[in-house]
Amino acid sequence: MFSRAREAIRRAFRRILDSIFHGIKGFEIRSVSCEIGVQASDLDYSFSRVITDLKFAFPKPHIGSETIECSICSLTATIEARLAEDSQPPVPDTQVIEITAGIDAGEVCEDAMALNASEVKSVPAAISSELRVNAVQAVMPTAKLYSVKGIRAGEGTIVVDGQRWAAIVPMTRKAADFYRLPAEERVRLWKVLVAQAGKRPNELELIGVFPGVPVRSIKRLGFESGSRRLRIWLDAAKNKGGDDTPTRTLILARERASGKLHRVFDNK
Amino acid sequence: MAGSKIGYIACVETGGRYIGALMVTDGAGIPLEFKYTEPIKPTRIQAILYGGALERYIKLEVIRRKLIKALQNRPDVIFVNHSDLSLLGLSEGIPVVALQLAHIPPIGGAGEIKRPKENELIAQAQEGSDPLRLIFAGLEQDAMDRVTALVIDAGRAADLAEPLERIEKAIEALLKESSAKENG
Repeated sequence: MFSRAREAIRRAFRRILDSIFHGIKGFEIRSVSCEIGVQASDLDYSFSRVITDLKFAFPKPHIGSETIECSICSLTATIEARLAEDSQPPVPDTQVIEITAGIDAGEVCEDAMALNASEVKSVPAAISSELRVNAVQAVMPTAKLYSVKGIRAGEGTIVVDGQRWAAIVPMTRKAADFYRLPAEERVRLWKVLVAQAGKRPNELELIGVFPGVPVRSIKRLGFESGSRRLRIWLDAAKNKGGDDTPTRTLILARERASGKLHRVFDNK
Repeated sequence: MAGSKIGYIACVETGGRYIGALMVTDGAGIPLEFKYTEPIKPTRIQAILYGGALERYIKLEVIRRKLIKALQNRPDVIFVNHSDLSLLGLSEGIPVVALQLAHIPPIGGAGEIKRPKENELIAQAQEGSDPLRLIFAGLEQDAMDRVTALVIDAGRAADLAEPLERIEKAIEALLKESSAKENG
């Protein structure tokens, strides 16, 4: 296992170096070597078909006979970005995946996940009473001048209470850049995923980590693969808002073999 | 900063009509209130009378002020997209500040702040994510400090820039509905 990981890193590193130094005259990469500073326990949680999370160090990568110590800091950022890119799940752009299966983190979303799309689009009854026009609660002194032809001519500008629009438009959460998180945090999140999914690490492929998900207000979730965003339709009945709206980090992964999605909430 | 209320305002002009919306959320981004103006179409006479000040007048006096006055939940700060800096300032005692993702690498750990210009601030609210860029105008230093503290605190739990996209989508939907009404 360890040698496989080492070889995978070496190949990835070589590929990245090739792309970085491609076309630069007088710079020929003859060999690449690297040391892997990784413990077996970390490896269990991090190594799988694609490189998703590996704790490793590049102490002195060699290019030919030269050591590129001076540029390794800037290279590391590039390398991490490229590794992240290489690890993206092979999902076509713009596809929205409905997240209906998964392991619950206890208290959240069980019934919410079962709802279908048509229900989501209806205006929740709970807020329809607020859907009233606060007619002439507003406007400017010269209201007559600002009449709107064909819409509300003669009434001027009015402010409308439109809470239903806020419920219809989904909240979105962008996937955190996994490779910018501290290494300990990455390993911890993998451990949470593996423990709650009940799968072995190499059976799972990480799709994304989404911080700040309001766990008690979710009606339905969707993942937009092109933009790597989570769409969260809020449940009007649970959508109270307020001082203590809890948020958690959602970890989304899929089983490599079956494609089954797993969503787990970080308990931290 | 428990119990923060954050406002988001946007104003769109299309086909000579202006429409504005204001959403107040809690610290997690859950909407507490959403208000919008019906489309405002200045007459030709108004366009002549107000001249170059027309757009600013509509945005500040008609849309921003009226929407804020109509709110039932008073936000601690109101954010606006960087593309609409004319809305910045202090309105009804509430600071209106431009906010967007900076699209640069993290500037440090969560809570890190940089001030590249006197009226501009870069804040790292969440670990590992894109920093937030804020632009202030017409605010005292203590007001800017309060907004900065709120951004750092509330930004740990939620993506503070995201509701701006939501409000713009809501306005798009409103405009479509409005056009449909006019044509129908």
